[in-house]
Amino acid sequence: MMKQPDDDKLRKANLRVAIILGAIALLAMAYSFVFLPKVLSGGLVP
Amino acid sequence: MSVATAHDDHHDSHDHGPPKGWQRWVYSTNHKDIGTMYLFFALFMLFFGGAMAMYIRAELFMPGVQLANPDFYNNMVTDHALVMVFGMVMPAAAGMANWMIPLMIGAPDMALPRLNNLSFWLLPAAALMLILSILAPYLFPGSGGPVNTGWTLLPPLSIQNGIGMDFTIFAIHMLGISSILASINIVTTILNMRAPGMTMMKMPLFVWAWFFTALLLIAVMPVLAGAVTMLLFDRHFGTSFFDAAGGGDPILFQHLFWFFGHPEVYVLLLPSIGVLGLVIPTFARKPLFGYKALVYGMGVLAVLGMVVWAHHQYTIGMSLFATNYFMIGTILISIPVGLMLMNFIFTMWRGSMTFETPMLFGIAIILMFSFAGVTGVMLAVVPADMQYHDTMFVVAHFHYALIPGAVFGLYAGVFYWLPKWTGHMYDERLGKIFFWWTTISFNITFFPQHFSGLAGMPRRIVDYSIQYTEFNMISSIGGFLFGLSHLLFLYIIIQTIRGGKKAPDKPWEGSQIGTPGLEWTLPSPPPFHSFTQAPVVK
Ligand code: HEM
Ligand SMILES: [Cu+2]
Repeated sequence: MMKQPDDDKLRKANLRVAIILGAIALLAMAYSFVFLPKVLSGGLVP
Repeated sequence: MSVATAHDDHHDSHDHGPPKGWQRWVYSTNHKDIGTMYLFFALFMLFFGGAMAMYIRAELFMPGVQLANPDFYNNMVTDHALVMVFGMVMPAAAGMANWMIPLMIGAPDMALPRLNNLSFWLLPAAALMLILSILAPYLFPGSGGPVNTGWTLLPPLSIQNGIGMDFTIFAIHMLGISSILASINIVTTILNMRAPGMTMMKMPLFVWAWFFTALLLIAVMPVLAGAVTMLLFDRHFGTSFFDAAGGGDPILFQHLFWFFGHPEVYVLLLPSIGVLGLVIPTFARKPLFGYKALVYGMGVLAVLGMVVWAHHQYTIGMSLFATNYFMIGTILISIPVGLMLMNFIFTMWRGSMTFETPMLFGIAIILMFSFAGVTGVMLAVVPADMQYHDTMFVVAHFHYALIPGAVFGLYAGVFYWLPKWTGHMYDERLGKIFFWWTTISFNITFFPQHFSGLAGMPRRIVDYSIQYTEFNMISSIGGFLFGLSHLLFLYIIIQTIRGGKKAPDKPWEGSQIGTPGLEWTLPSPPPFHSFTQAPVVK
């Protein structure tokens, strides 16, 4: 929760959350290349 | 001080207004200006996608091939869908998120204002790419025919397509990056920028709806980006992800596409459910029934929505186990969907209702979206879907889901917030005419498609057997009327922007009941910088 708009701490906290979310998005992309094809071409959904 | 650094140096930024001229828009880091640009972009794309729909209905008015060739027809079917989904509904919802989320939670702006600028300005570039993909066969003769795969872009056809497909793939890349960045921004804003006292469970439903939407987008949009990238590699770099001749599998693309595609339909739906969660209590003058259940319901919907994708592919010959799993999962989804609709009905129960335009849309959504829920459960049943799949019945289902479920929700939002955005009340009489005109013509357009579909008329085909003629003529007439109604929509919006009765801070009697957020504490229209001092919620 925001205590004071636009202080330095908030800016850093925002950046941290954004980087985590961006990493999740990159993982999801990697997942489409690696994991899902493997599972789907042999395993769960033949 | 230059606009780009306005947020680096906030101390003196509240005593200047917006910068003048084009710089205000091109360099904008202001959530309201960017929201406005998103909304105008969506409005433009509504007419662009709508024009393609008018062509489709004109072609289908009679059996036979009338206006152009089958490839062009399929190109229009493809780009109508891509434009409406990625160019219209998503940007309009994102525009509303930009405008309203900071106001509702008491934030001075979005968490990452410059990223916000980038998210928007990727869109016109992507739109240009899409337009190029349509023009490619004519601009570059000999580069292959039009993109004729439908919005699902299925290989092997999409591998055989001409250069237009490459433009489509790049457009999807840009649209994907845009919505991932916008989603990151929205989640960060909701987590970090709430005013003191604005706990998560106090947030208006619209904010929650966008929270889940953004999380869904972050999870599935990259999968689509990955899939179309593989497609690009198959087309140009000798890989064979989807090419059976090289050991790949075209079915894999379907899984990847629908792993994105089914959650995507909830991405389109949820923001409008969020708008409903404001509109219904406002005009019933009663607090939302089951706020917590709605929040959890949306969470369940988002999670379930990610594990049922293969109900779009029952006919590919999956194992019995997989088929059963996807069938049961899909039918389970009607539980949270039903719960939401019930909560809205209970909110209206014994309320003192009035029927302004947003409320009319709200009630119409509940009725007509339920209809899509019913046809959805029919489609979820495997043996039944073997008959319905790839017929006009599916087209009827998803237009009942998407037009009431997503588009009407956006219209409700537009009428609900126009007074806040512009400072003027819209003309209620015209709003009501627009409501009845769209609702009636929408039903004339899509109701008959249930029948032609059940009778076996296939979708995505330019011609049909003569026994479907009457249904299609009715559909086309309805379609033209539906298209025409949007000129009135445009007129109402322009009229409201240019003038009209002055809107008070709380334009609706039940505003504060509908959404106990902070947007109503600001004047209509709100000042260029919303909350220079963090408001406190008690
Ligand atoms: C009760 C909930 C729902 C169920 C059980 C359901 C079920 C289904 C099924 C089984 C199909 C595949 C039909 C086929 O191709 O043979 C389908 C297609 C579709 N549904 Fe739904 N649906 C539901 C809600 C929704 C919602 C809320 C939306 C969007 C807001 C939606 C949008 C679509 C779209 C766009 C398609 C067609 C995609 C395409 O093939 O191009 N549905 N639905
Ligand atoms: Cu689905």
